[in-house]
Amino acid sequence: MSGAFLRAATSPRIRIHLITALALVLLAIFAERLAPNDIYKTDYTMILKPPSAKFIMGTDYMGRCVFSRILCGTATTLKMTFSAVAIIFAFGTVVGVLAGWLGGTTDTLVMRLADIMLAFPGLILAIAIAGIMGGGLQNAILAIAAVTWPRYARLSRSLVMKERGSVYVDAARAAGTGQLAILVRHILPNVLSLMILSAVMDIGVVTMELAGLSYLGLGAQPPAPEWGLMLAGGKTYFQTAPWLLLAPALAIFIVIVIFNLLGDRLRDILDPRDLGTIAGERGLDS
Amino acid sequence: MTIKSSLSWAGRFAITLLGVSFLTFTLTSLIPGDPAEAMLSAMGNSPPPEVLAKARADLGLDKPFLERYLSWLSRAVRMDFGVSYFSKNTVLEDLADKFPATLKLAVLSLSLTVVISSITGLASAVRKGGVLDAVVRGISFTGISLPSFLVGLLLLYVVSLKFQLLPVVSRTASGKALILPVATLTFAMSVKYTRQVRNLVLEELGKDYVLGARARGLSETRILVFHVLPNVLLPLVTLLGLSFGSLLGGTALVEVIFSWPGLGNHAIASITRRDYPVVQAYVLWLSSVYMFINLAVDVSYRLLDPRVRAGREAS
Repeated sequence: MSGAFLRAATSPRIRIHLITALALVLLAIFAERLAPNDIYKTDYTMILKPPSAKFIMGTDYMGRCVFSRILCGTATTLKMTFSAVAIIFAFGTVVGVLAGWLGGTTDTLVMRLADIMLAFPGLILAIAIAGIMGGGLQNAILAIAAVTWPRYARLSRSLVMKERGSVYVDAARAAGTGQLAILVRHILPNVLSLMILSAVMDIGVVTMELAGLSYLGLGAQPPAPEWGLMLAGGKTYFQTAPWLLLAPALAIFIVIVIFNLLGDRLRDILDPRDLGTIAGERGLDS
Repeated sequence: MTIKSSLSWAGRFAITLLGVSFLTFTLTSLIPGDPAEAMLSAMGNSPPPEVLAKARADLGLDKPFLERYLSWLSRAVRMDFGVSYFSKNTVLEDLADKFPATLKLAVLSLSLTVVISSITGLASAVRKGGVLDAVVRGISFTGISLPSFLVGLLLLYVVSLKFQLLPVVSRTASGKALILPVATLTFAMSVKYTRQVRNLVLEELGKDYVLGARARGLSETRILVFHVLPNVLLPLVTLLGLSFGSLLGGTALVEVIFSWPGLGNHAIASITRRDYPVVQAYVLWLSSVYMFINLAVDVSYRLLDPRVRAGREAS
């Protein structure tokens, strides 16, 4: 990792955002223990009850505790989002770096494939893939990964190509540094910090997309505590039980805000010009 | 465009469509469960094996994968995408039937987005650091963190359920039914475009030609409207093109929430009931739209930007 990135990630200006994000992760880890009620226990005498002392966010159409389900939903959401972003980051970056470094046929093949994938509006293709493979957490994650990796491949490829032509690489080569050492020790650190930044900035978008897939029934399956799914299940009862809409909506919003703030702040500190294009491209389709 | 670049574009177009259709076909044949089963069990009880086998043969599902793909391909190049398993109409008829509703939504919300975000973006850039800027940035940050389906659901709740100003579900694609979906999409897109416009305007304001115009004594309004705005709109063309492309595919989530009778909704329904001929045609439609929009963006750059025009001719 380049020094600039480490300095940015540890700068005081970002500390508060890191702490909030960390708190969210801790909340997710301990959600099950913190939840006041059993998230699967249905109670037909307690259907659609408004918020009370025992159920502070009310109960749903099966008499389950909404607050506990929201709390445990944090774990579901973060698990899904982080796995998706990790897959996208790892796969996209490796493929892009290889394409940029090797050039030639590999490069052409990979970039053609990326072009084909990018010829779709992301979420719709993800819906098609998830729909064709059948709903489920894993398939939803794979679907989102399948439509997002090409952007990472493109970005890391262009970064590698740019660095490859720079003076310091020429200097390293002149000093007799081996090809692999140049790639690993000189080029990768510069590429990685921007790739990590774009991964952090994408967490919010991926959260949105996964919640959307779950809302359509293509992500998490009942009775899992997942916010998109809870919205879809509660839709019929919004008029009489608005907490079924407001609680998951607020939860989704808060998580996205936390990660968007973190990403924006990190970008402001690093101020990379190359990222202008990604920031423009990401998630402009609804 | 020269003949050579047209040909190379046509080549890429054909390869992309071929790749896309092959990928979809592979995906659809990889997964367990098939359309014959889905079709028959949709009618109620689970079908007896011999009925199932006959349905499979009728749909051509008993043939090997490559044979099915090639026969589909040979018909597809003649614009014959087969018949929907469910509606029994030709796939093209169904898609053409859903398209106007989607087009209406796309054109309306994108036009509104352009108008709104140019105004808010410009205003907030000019008043950078002021109250107005803070408000606009606050709203746009909030909006960016709200998924569009959430905006849709919240609007639906407040407008239709709480205050009962508009119907919750409407089967027609006009009049009052337009308001909420258009509002949802416009909001979701405007918050993103406002940010873009603001950044682009700020970048332009720092350039020498603005300084020159100020030195010549031109009014700020004149500089903004006649000098800065045209330069800002140019980079927006690409983004608007991409947005339009995805809107033409139908914004699945928003269409589903408002039961909008458009392409996105139709696609989701077809995906869930494994109506593969529809899914195939829909995916091809999406990628064609994208390729054409990208082409249009390229061409418009050449028409709008003298620098690109000169650069291309010089090289």
